[in-house]
Order: sequence, then structure tokens, then C-alpha cells
Amino acid sequence: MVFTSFTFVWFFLIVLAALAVCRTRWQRQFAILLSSIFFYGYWNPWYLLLLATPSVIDYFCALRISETADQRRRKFWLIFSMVSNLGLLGYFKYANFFVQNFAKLMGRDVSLFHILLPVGISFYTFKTMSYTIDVYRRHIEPCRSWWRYAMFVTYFPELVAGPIVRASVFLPQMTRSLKPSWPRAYVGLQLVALGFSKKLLIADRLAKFVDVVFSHPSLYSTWTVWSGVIAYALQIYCDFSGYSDIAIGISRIIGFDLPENFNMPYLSTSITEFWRRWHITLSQWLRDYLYIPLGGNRKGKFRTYINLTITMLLGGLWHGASWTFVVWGAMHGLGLAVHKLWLDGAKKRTWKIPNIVGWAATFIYVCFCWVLFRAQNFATAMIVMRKMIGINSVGVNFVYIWLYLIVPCVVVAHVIGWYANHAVERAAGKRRVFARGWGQRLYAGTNRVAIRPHPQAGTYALLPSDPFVLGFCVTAWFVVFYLFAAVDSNPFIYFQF
Amino acid sequence: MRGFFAKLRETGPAKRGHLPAIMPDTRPEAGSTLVPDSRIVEPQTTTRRTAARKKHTSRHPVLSFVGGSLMALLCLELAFHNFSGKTESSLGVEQREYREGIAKSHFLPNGLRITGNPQIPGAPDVLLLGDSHIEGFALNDKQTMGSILERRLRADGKPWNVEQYGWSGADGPDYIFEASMVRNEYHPAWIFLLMTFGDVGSTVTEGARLVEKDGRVVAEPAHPGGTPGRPPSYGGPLERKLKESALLYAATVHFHLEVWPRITGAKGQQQAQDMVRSETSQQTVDTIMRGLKDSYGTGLHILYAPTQPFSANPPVEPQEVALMQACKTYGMNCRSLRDRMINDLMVNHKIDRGFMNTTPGDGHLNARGHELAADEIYDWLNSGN
Repeated sequence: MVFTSFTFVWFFLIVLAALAVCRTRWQRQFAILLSSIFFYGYWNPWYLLLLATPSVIDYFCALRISETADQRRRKFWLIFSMVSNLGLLGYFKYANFFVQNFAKLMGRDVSLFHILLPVGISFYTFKTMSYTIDVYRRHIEPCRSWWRYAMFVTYFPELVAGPIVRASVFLPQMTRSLKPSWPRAYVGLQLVALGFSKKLLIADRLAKFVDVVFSHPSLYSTWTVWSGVIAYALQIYCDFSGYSDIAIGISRIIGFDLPENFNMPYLSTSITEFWRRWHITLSQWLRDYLYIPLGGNRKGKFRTYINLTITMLLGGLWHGASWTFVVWGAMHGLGLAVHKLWLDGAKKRTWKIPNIVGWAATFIYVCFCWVLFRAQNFATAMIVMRKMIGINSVGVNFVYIWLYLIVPCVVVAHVIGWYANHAVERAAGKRRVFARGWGQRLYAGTNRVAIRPHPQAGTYALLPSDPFVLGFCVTAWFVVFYLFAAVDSNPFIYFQF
Repeated sequence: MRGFFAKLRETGPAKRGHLPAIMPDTRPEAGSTLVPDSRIVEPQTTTRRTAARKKHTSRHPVLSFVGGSLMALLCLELAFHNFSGKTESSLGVEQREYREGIAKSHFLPNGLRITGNPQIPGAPDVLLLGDSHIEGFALNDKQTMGSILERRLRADGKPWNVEQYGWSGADGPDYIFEASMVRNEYHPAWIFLLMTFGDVGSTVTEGARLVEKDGRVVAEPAHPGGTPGRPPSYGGPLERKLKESALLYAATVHFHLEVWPRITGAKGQQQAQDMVRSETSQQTVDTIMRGLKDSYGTGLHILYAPTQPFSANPPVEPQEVALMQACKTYGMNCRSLRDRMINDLMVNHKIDRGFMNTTPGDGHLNARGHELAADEIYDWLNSGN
């Protein structure tokens, strides 16, 4: 069930009706649990068993870990949980990949397993792993109610493509009443509308161009290939952040607050900053549960660089069972290591690179990396990259007008969002709860288009309350959305992970 | 309704002073653990909130909302008015296109597409017949293949007129059905029929309309009781009046072409038909060709426009193979644009289908495609075949 389908709209309306009818908190939680089970089972009922496995195993492992002070037993249950989670992920996502590569290495032909990749397995596996690890580290208390834990695991808005919510964020919110309320719905609906716009007005429009360029890259000129790559950079951002916005908006309507996943990533002036702004919940997960356990930056400079590369390489593999993803991750890891090296040497230097240069270098590097992420294979990726650097640059020049309309809009939204964010940060520095003046207005009005709400600034409604302005905005959005939203919507890109 | 807006006022940012925050409901119920949430923001002082609220209070919130909506519609109408399907023009009936490129096309009331060149009275006529490719909504008058051909012929010292007659969605049986009208109305010296993969081969949709009478293949009307002389695709007087509003026009077209087919499942049926069509029946193509030969004679020239090739050796469509086979069988003049399109792609780096706002290579022939078609027809005319 895709968020942008009519089926989901009906499903969600029924969920809301059920929540409104339920009288107590636990009834509402139970209704959400049932809805989540239906949501996942609608796609393939048999894979509900797969979803139930970590729900049961990790629940009991966490309880066992918390019940004993014996470090060996605690470690045993942690390893048991890790093996079960990684085993599921390994079998369903990577079995064929490893078998295929092993067979190639041995020079043999083997028949592959007939495995259908369960939607969202990477996301909910990471979610349940973080829960057990947090309990092991004594960062959180284990959840004592199984069905509440099951609700955390199966919670439908973020089940298939994130944000990766940690138990420490989600479980405490179980104490809320979850009664639908207008103020929450008002903000939530705006986020949902924003997510729909990003997906159907931008991502799916650009997808038509991107698909053609990446299917025959050798035919196109350097300019067109660059346009295709930039279009893909915008497509994947709007597709994924659009999904996150819808998930966060839906959750807000239901009564939960999910962590933000994006913060204007393309404004980053370094690759390190990019990963602080892109898929925030994943990069934080990798930092806390992979990079730091590997030793982080505590074991010398060289080990830091190695740790960064390994973390991102595995992060790349997490995205998909393909060498292109592994190399994509490795390239980002290498970028992070090189930036770290640069920062380490910066103390001795008296000069600084201007931000604009840092921004351009980061954006170009990220675009090159996206080529590996999008291309079907290395051969295609190499053709695209050669075109990008001007080798064999002659080809079809195709001007895809949507790209030229969308890019200025995104740039303007980012510039305003950047200004507004700074205004809010300045206000936060002065210990004012809110920014004032233009910064405040801009933040309230436009920031949402490009970024998450600043944690210091609370969460605002995008639209004003004045009925006239509200009528204007709502009508204009409906008309534009009706006329220009892509009718043949593609599935969200991150569904495949 | 007033209550609704009263609640909104509590949620939206105030115009002056501080923004009222939408408070995420992060405060736990009594007795529960505290939720760490940095987004909890203290509410503003009552005085400020009240002041801000007073400023916003409207006596008629519903009317204000409706007023805002109407204002939005007006602004959008003004912004997009240039893309309305406005139909009155000194040149003829005007059709404005924005779905495939942006263009203004002009038609005579009988449906003939204007070439944009002055017509020469009494000059021999070259008739270009076809479907939406000939109709060419997506191209300005001067960009159509008829216009280009006409200019080239005249530059070559041949003062001929080129007529362009097409209807959206026309296929093989339509051309056979309209033959008597075409011949009687226009008396063309040459007829060129542009065909695409959609015009030939579906046993279900096209074969069913073809019947054999007195040893000739004739076509039944598309709708019972239909007579030759199909109305132009740009619509009747009422439809043309509605097109004067850009929003109404765009909304209607979008609903008609995208939304309604999805609601009724017609999109699925269309895809199913395309599937059937892809399994081209040589017998059906043969029947269509026989029908065309019976209706127009051997003087009919058929030009096939394939889908956009994306390599030097693209697979040939089964429709094209069947069409060429049938042409050979019945001794008809047929050519394909395939070689020209491949050459254009590989040598000139041009794509002949698709527009700046559509998927590259997808959809109708673009201006470049029309240029190629005009070149092919021009060469054909000069070759004397």
C-alpha cells in the first residue's frame, strides 16, 4: 500500500475513524497495531510472520538482558538478538548476492533462491536491533508489554521506509492519549500535503527524464547527462524526504512525533555536513551502533579514517545487495575520511576554503556518487561518469523544461530556509524562544518547504489562520496539485531497500 | 464553521509578535514517564496571544475563506490564461496546447489544419492524411510537415497546396471509412497517409470494423449510424467556449484524459488493447491494406512513423514488418521513417518524438520529426513513384 494511492487514503481515513471511536488509550494503541498489521499484510500476508519474528525475539531478549546482571548472559542474549536480526536480513536481502558472487569467484553456475525482498526489512531490522542494543547499554528500560512493543515495531507510517525511529523516542510517547485533535491534524495535514507535493509534483515528474537518460546515457550530451544527474539528485531527495514528510505528518495526526530525516542536505559545505543533513536517522544509527563500537575516533587518526570508510561501506550495502551500492557507500566513506584528514590539517593552516567552494565540491561529489546509486550496473555508471567529465561529450541535447522550472523553486526555498534557519539559531543563541521579525515570518512560512523545524523553535503550522489567506492557499494548492501532479506515480525509491 | 476557524486561529502563526506554536502533544499523562522532547515550547503570554487573535478575528470567516478561494482561482486563471484553449482567431479556430510542448495551432472549420502559408487558388493539392500526428496540436502552424513541405515545393518552383487532415485516435478502418468524403471533398492529386503502430494490427478493435462487400473491403462506422466527415478533434461550439478559461480547459482535459479513464478502468482497457495490438495479426494488416487500396487506389502513399529508436540497430516493430509485407503483397507505395530517424539520432543527435515537457522520445512527432517526414515526402514526390 503506497502512501500516494487512493487505497491508502481510504485506509487512513478508516484508521482515523477507528481512533475517534475508541474510548481509551489502550484501545487506540490496539487499533493502531491492527492497522499496522493490515497495512503490511496487504502487501503479502505471509511476510507478517517475518515481521512477527523480531517482534517476539527482541522483546524477550531485551527482557532477559534487563533481568540479569551477569555480563556473559547479557552478552549472550544480545548476540542471540543480533544473529536473529542479521540472519533474517542476510537471508532475505543478501543471500542471492553472496551466493552469486561466491559462485562467480569459484567459476561455477548456481541456481539462485527464489526470494521476494520483504518491503522495509532493512528499516525494521535496524529499529529492533537498536532497541536491544539500547537495553543492553542500559540506555533504556525494556518494554514490559509485548503488544506495545509490537506496535513500536510494526507502526505503519514509518514501517517500510523510515525514519528509523528508536525505542527511546517512540516508546515513551505511548503514554499519550492518541486522541485525534484538530491542532495536531492541522500541522500533520500540511506535512502530508507537502510530502505529496514533493513526491508527485517534483520527484515523479523528474523520474521520467532521469529514467530515459540513465537507460541510454551514451546517446546524450554532457549537458543533458549532467541535467539527468542533477534531476536524479532532486528526485531522490524529494522522493525520500517527501515520504518522510508524509510519515511524520500522518504520525502527527495520529498522535506521535517522529524524528526529522532531512535538513536541506544540498546546502552542505562538506561531505560530513551532508551526512548530518541527509537521512539523519540512518546516519545517527550508523554512528551510534557501528562507527562508535568500531572505535570511532578514539583509536588514532588512521583507525578513524578506516572506521569511517567501513561504516559507510556497510551503510551502502544496507541500501541494496549490489556492488554499485557498496562502492557508493565506500565513496562516501572515502569522502568523509578525506574531509576528516583535511580538518585535522586545518589547525595548522592559516587560510580557509570559502564556503561556496566547499558547497560546490560537496554537491558535485554527491552527484557523482548518485550515479552509482542510480545506475543499473557499473558499465552504465562509467558511461555516465565519462560523459559528466566531458569524455565523448557529443550527443542529444534535450531540454527538459520541468527541471528548469523545479530547480529555481528548490533553490529559492533552500535560500529562504537557510536564512530563516540562521535567524532562528541566532535567536536561540540569545536565549529567546522565538526568532523575531523577518526571520520568524520566513521560518513559519517557508522553512518547511526545505527543511525540518528547528528544534529550538517549536513546530509551526505552515499556513496562517486568517480565513482569507487560508482559502487562497488551500485552493491554489489543490488546483496546482490537480493539474500538475504526476498521474502515473512511481513507487517510492526507498521501498526497494 | 465558526468553531473551525476559531481553532485554526489557535494553530496558525500570529501576524505580529510571537508565533503561537503548535504544541506537539508530548506532555505525558499523569503518572507516566516524562517524554524528552526538545520541541516543547512554552506558550506565549496571554496578552500577546489575545492581541494577535483580536487582530485576526473576522466576522464572516466562511465568506473570507470563499473569498480567498475565488481570489486564488482568479490569480491562477490570469497566470495561466495564455495556455487556455481559446478558439477564436483571425487565422481560424485556434487550439492552444500545453501538454506536449507549448504551441498554437489553427484549423479551418472543416477540420483542415492550416499550414500558415498563403493558399494558391486552383493549384494541385497534396493531401496529408492521418491521426493526431497530422493534426499536430503540439506544433505551431509553420512547424507542421505540411507547412514545411509546401514551402519546399514552392521554393522548388512547384506552386502546390498542401492540405493536412487528421483526427486524434484515427486508425486504419477510419481512413477507409472516410475515403469517399476525402476524395469528393478535396480531389487531391496526391494522398500521403501517415501511419503509426497504433493504426494497424489490432484484430479486436480494427479487424472487427472491416467487412467484405462485393469483393471490396469496407469499414463500418466507429459508432452506429455514423457518416463520413468526422468532426474536428478540437471540439464543438460549447466545448470551444469552455476553452476560453485556462483553468476550466486544463481541468477538463486532465479529467477527460487522465482521471476519468482511471476511475472507469478505461486506462487498463487501453493497455490491454495495446497488448493485443503488440501481437500484430498479419491477416488484419492485410485486410486494412486491401481496404485502403480499394478506397484510394494504388496512388495512395503510406508513410510509417516508428517509435523513437534509441540505438543504431533498434528492433523493428512487428507492426512495421506486417505493414511493409502487406504493401509488398498488394503493390502499394509504402515507406518508413525509420532510417531517417536512426540517422538523425546517430549523426545529428536529434530526437524526433517527445517535447520539452514530456518524456524524451515519447509521444507525438515533434518539430524535428515533422521536418523528417516532410523531407521524406518531398523526396518521394520528386522520385516520381
